[in-house]
Amino acid sequence: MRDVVGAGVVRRAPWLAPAGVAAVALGGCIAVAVLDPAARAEVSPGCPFRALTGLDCPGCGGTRALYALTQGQFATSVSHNLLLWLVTPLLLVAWGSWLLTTLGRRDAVWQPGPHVAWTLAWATIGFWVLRNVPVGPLAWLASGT
Amino acid sequence: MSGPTGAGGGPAPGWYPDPEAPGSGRQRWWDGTTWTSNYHPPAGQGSTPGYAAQPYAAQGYGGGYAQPVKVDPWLWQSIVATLLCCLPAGVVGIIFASKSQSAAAVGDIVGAQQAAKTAKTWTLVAVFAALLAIVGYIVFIVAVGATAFWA
Repeated sequence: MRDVVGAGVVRRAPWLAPAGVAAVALGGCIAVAVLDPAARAEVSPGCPFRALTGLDCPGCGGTRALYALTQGQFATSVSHNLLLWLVTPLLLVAWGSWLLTTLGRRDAVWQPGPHVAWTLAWATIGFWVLRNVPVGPLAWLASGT
Repeated sequence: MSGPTGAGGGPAPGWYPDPEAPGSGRQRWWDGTTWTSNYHPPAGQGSTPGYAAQPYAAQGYGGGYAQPVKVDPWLWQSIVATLLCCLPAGVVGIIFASKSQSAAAVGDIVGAQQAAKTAKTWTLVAVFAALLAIVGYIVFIVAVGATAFWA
């Protein structure tokens, strides 16, 4: 298998990039599981958007959702950040296809079509708006305390 | 008109050697069903600098001598940046990444590359602004801590 990247450019060990991303992500997960940064509000930086506006951003509650997941509290995790649960499976598939591609599996290339991309874009914007509406069931979308 | 060969199990949409100009190196957009009127000059003429450097450019050889062009729309990067950096710039990145996907789906490679470039810019703005906020926060904490220590 040729590892041709561009005109005459051969990249050595192209799988190092996805492996590095996985290592950083895994390190982050372990750090969150061990440190529980949300419980140390006096030292963790928190969300800049929330600090400025008092509103939830699409990522707010992500750290708490991840921590709850590492503790096996699935319902709590989903209620902290629903979007994370929708996006993470897609991210895992995209990462897997990226890894296989760098290993020479040209048939493994997966890129979401425009429909998936636009769905994600509108889901993010919709989630951002709706989770800041403190009415009835929509309040469940907020990152919580 | 027959489709491109060698793409394996039903040719996927992509750039393939133009069957009407064999040997010229010219590429033509195959939309998955039929040939469109979108053409791409032979590789190596330098008309679209940078497209050959895309990491996805090397997959799925159409006719054995030319490569279909793939544009990295920066969709995943912008989504991760939005979730981790908590800044509106990340959402702008997702929108331009989606525009890039839409352009690529109809064979508009130049449009896809432009939108992807804009998505990349906004994603990096979100990342660097968040890094700046974190560094500023750490400086603030250290300064407050030092003040409290000396008080």
